[in-house]
Amino acid sequence: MTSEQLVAWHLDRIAAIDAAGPALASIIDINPDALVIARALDEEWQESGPRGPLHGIPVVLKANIGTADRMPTTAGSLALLHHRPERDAFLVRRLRDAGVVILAKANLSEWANFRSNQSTSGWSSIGGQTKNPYLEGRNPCGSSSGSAVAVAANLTVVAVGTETDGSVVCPSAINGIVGIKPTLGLVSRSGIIPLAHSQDTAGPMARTVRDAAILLGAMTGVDPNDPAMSKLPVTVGNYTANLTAAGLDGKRIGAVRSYYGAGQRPAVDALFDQSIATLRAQGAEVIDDIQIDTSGMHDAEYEVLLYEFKADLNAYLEASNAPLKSLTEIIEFNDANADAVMPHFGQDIMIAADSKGPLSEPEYQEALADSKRIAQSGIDRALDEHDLDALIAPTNGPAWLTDHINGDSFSVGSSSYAAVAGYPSITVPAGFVSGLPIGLSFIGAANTEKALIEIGYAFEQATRARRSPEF
Amino acid sequence: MTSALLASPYIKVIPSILSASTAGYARRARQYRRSLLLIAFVLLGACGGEAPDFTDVEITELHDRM
Repeated sequence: MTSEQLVAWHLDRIAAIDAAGPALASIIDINPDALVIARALDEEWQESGPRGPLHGIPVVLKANIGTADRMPTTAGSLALLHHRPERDAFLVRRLRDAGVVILAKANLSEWANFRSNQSTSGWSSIGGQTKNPYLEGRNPCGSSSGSAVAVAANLTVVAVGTETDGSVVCPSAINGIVGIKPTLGLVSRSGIIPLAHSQDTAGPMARTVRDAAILLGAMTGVDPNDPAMSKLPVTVGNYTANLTAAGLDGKRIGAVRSYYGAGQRPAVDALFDQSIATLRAQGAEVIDDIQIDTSGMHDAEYEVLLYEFKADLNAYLEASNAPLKSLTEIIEFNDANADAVMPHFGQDIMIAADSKGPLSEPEYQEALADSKRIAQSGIDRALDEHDLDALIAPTNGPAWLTDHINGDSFSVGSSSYAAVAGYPSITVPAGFVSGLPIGLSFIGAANTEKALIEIGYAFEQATRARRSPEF
Repeated sequence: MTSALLASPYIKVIPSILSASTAGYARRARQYRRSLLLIAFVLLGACGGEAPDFTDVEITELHDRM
């Protein structure tokens, strides 16, 4: 078997079920050089052996991750249709060095879902609507919709998504795969179209915990151009060394019951209870009914995101070779091309962000301090008080019907604790409700990825909950 | 092989793209280019014989097969 065969098989599948057939629309651009790259990596393997565990493995990237190749970097927006950065994002350089084949770019919720409060996840003006492979009228969540669907439907081996709040873990869970949202600063953000630097991170998405851990190991690396990295200890390493089915034995896990939608979906609650029983059966001690008070956090978080989106996007556009140089110009482009860009929802969030001042304003500084304090102290207190290794909560509810008139209908979620805190979380398939995948999130303190991955792996081995979508 | 290719779903992509009406010329041109690329890849792949099935195969197992 060769990497070229592997790449060809995935391209064939993309043609059959993504561009045609059920038309999942998870892929926004194919890398025209993928087969050539794979062939060169095959020759290198023959001559000098593999570079590492990802040599010759196809990877799909979310379309807001910069690549200096023949694929544009668009965030799904027609405003950036021809944007080709001059340099790879730092994490892309790491992956190329590891020997991956960048197979394609994935569709996403346009601008990482920071355009309108009436948006529909998985829709972009370039890529159209990505579908949930388990039931095509259902939504794939977002904003890393295409990355998740491409992995779930075997259109790639692994993918990279990005998250500001839920954009890796929600689509991963709702499409029945594993997603890791790392500690803020573990993975470089350089070269990624930004949303908000105090919460943005890229994360691996895969069908198994081991594959996600392998990809995370290749993505990490110290980037001197990302200020968040200097605040962390060097945690680059091998995340697969201690994966064992006995990884839950003796662990102390806190079951959070204050997640969004708790008690509103009996089938999700029942699956959560079943997951707790599995953890206990595997030797973990589960402390149930952890309450985390997040009063005021979401309002503060939203204020932070509005401020940072304007500042960060303007800085990115100004420094890049993008054709438009500011959020104001993006908004004007959208207005001038409203038929193509805004057939389903507007750009009210972008307009609100553009009205904000500089990051020196006290309103921003206070909101940032408040959001971080509430989220971090909430997690830290729960972990410390009960001497816990991790917290758990359902990642999602069953996928809602895609509805371009009313927009998204989230029912269950738990992403904000880790997202706002800048702490790690990993979602692992836990089971199904009405044939739709539900994930279990494992959340920990900063820089505890390795422990969370070991716990998630043991849960995965005990449950084997993932089932492939059928085509 | 030709008849099999003509009956395949890839060929059907082109008319559906040409008839797309909501998204604007630039997006349709982009989708058209992607479909041509995929057709070219599929034609290349068809010359390479039967490929193994890689559904749900983990990275370590893929490397074991390489």
